Amino acid sequence: MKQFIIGVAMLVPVAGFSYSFDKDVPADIQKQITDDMGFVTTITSEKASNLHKEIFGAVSGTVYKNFFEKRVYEIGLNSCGNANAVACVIPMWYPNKMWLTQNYIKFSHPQIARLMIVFHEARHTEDDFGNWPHATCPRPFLDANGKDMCSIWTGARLEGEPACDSTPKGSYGSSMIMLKNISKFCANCNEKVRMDAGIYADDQFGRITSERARKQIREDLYN
Amino acid sequence: MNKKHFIFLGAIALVAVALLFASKAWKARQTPDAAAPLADGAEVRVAETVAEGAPPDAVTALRSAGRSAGQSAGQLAAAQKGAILDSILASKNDNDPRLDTDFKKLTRADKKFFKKKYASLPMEKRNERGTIVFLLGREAREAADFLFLKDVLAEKPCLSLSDCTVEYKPGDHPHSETSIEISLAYPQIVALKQAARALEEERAAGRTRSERYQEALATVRAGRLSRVPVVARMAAETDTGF
Repeated sequence: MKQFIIGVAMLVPVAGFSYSFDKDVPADIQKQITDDMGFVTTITSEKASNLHKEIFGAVSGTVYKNFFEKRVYEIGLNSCGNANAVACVIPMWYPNKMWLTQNYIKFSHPQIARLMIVFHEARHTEDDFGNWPHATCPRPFLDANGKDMCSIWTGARLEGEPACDSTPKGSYGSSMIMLKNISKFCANCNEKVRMDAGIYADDQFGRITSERARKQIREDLYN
Repeated sequence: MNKKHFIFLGAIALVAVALLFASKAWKARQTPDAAAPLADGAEVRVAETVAEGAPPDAVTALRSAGRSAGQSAGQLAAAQKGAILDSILASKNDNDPRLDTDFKKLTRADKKFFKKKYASLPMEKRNERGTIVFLLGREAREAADFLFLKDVLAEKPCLSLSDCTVEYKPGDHPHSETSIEISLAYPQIVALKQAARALEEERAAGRTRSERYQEALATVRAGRLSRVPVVARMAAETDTGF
């Protein structure tokens, strides 16, 4: 009988993601990303925009889980070469590994912003598409009011930097489409999460520079 | 009775004693001193218990225990809501459904409590501060509520997520810095969003001459003066729509 109980216990499926953590990833960072991904897996919706269907499928926790698991097999700890970075991938080093920095828990980003960053990075793991390289932001790179687009308010201009996308399906485009769909269609997200998803999606839309791509996204999500 | 029976009875006695101690320890942890005033620690204990789904009698005991002499029912409710919010913020689960259920129809005492709570949080707690702005902004009805939003919009810019007083040093690779400016300005952006929401609600109800509409519009216009460029820009865009 005892052996039977142990046998049954070992067959109980373990809920969660299939990626593994390097040993040096602190427990609090592991817990935070596990909690964040746990939230993503709960998302449900009956609607999705066309671009979202093309990139991900339905607005669904299962779909997001599969998307992430197919791209990220391991999570490590790295500074990502930038004191302000939260996560990165280094495709030439290991294409299916994501690196988180201490900022993942140190900085007080809303949860949806952390998720946006890891899904952005997950898109960069895709070898088939050259890792979806970013486009160079145009010179000048101006917003709708004719002001310089800056990465920060202290003045670093984005013009000439590889920090834009010319397609709706790149890292900026796909993560903003994911967030905008969560904002518009998530059935079990609370008001704050839907608001946050809209705020960050709208901001990321500014990184899409091709007029054709912008038109596609506007027609898909802003009408 | 043989030796085996003695061992068996001894084991049962040991288990019973252990359970008794565990039960007393649990009660001691869950039931604060009824005479104690409502200190910060007490609020946290209420939060933990409510969050963990403690039995109703335990929650009732905590609620009565948490009330100090002269404290009104309204103040107690505010402290309880504050404790629930503390537990939500500590969990970092922004999708906690209680944000949609436990913080509506806030009383003036609740609002006063949350404004104080907002002021007590470090500037670097951008998401936590923004969450309080979200809750208070959602309930903005009268001039005092919008004054709070205007105060948030008038705050000094937070210069970096690690230390708001230290100027942000741009990295070499802007790709890694995506969305930072939004998180830095998060409380202000939320204040603006909630003012815009009040405008939309009033306009949809045909109340564009109401005090709420006028206060919300004044809040958005105050946002245009923000020292945070992204906020000033968003405020200008919002203002144009009304």
